[in-house]
Amino acid sequence: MTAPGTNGSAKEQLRQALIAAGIDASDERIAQLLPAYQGLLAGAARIAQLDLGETEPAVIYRLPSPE
Amino acid sequence: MQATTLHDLSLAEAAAAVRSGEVAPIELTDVMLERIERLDPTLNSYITITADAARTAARAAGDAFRRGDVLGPLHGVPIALKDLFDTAGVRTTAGAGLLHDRVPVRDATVTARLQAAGAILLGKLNMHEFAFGVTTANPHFGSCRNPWDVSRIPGGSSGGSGAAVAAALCYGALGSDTGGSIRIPASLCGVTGLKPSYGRVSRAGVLPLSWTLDHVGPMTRTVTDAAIMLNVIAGHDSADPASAGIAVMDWTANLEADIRGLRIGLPRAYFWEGCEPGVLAALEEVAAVLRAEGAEVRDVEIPDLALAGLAFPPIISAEAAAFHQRWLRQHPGAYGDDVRERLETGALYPATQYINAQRLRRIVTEGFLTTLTSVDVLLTPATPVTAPALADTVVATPNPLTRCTFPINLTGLPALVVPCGQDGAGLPVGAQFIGRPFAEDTVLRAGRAYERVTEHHLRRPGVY
Repeated sequence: MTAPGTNGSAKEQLRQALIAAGIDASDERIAQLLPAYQGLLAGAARIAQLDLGETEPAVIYRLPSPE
Repeated sequence: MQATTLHDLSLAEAAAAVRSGEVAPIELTDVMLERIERLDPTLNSYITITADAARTAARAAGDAFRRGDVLGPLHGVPIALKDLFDTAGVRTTAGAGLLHDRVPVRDATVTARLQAAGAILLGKLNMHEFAFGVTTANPHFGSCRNPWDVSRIPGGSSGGSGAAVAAALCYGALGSDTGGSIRIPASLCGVTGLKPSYGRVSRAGVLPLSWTLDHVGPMTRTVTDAAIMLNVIAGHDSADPASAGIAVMDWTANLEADIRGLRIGLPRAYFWEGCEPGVLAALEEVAAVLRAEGAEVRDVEIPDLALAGLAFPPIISAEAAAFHQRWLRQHPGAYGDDVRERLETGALYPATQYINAQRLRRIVTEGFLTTLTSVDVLLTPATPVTAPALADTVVATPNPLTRCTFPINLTGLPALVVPCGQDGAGLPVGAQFIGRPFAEDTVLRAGRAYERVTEHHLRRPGVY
């Protein structure tokens, strides 16, 4: 994941991401989704700056206890 | 009992009136159905009204009572369900055009528990499409309106539940809460809403929005009513992988105990920010009332709370997109514009961002748990603002309505909202009590202690 770039590069990145996800990547949809996608990229960049150390995710797979 | 006052009974009073033989279930049911017919064309709180089935069930409940068979604590009491709880043989749409004609063959676990307790189902309540939004401006079934001012939203996603309870179109309802969807409409409609601890109430047969954030809980006109409904719906369910194997209790048993010595924390940093003056004034008054009742109220800080805003969006969005992936690819045009945009964006989150959000979630949760070692309960506003106008439903991101509620979904902690005042326009303000894991008894006791010496829960809206 790259940091948020220019509007143009974010647009192209969004187009590729939509195609990979099997979602309509028309210019109309890209215009609709671009602000939210830029928010997604900004959030990703902020999380990437954090040192999460050895913190494990809150969702951990647990094997069911034997009966 | 006068038919003109039956609708004003609390759920507890209605149940007691049936048990004593003072009122027949069919009387309660007819009163509610008459009110729905008269008032709901304005409010649009119901998607489906099951009038015939309700009357049949009410007559059967009356017959059972005359035989000496009392089914349970809700015997003969009319209630309603947000339209994402499966009801066998009754249409369950999740507020979605895509599921317009969906009729489940089985009841959700909570539906079955309510019916086993004797409740009468009046119908299915309006909601934000697929529960993915907080306005209940629904493009498929019409927007639900706030009974305090019909030009305003009831909040959401359980907006129909909030509006119907506030307008006395049922004695109690169930909602679901992924980022505040019980507590926001409770706050905006001036009713009580309880988001129990994650795992306390089964989600089996409840259409998911986000598996790790979804909660089920009651919406009622009093704290006692919420405790009664929790008694009925709580408990382990092997059909729900997240269901907790924690013992249940009678949540009404300790409700009237005083709160002398109860330690209540005010996390002003974050929770007080961005709140309207009327909301803050009401919260200060709540704190003063609780102090007067003997609670020890003091300011606290919750470590790492600012991280909640980074953790929440990837989790709710990616999980929702995963659930909707197939439908979204096959029928994108069947979704409303706002929900489609949220789901399509959710499909774009990288796995690393989702996992790191779940790591942040652990840090946020530890911050709350640390704070809750020095106090028993946290008190916050439920929503920073009162009900926005329906015309203003294109709301900012992040949505200010969810600011005080979504962090609690990350933690899974129990949270109760009670009405605590009104703003200059006469719109309700809500207070939120947050407790330790599975300490529903403590938040209910605190909420009841406040309710006992105030009258905000007795105020009635314009459409009533």
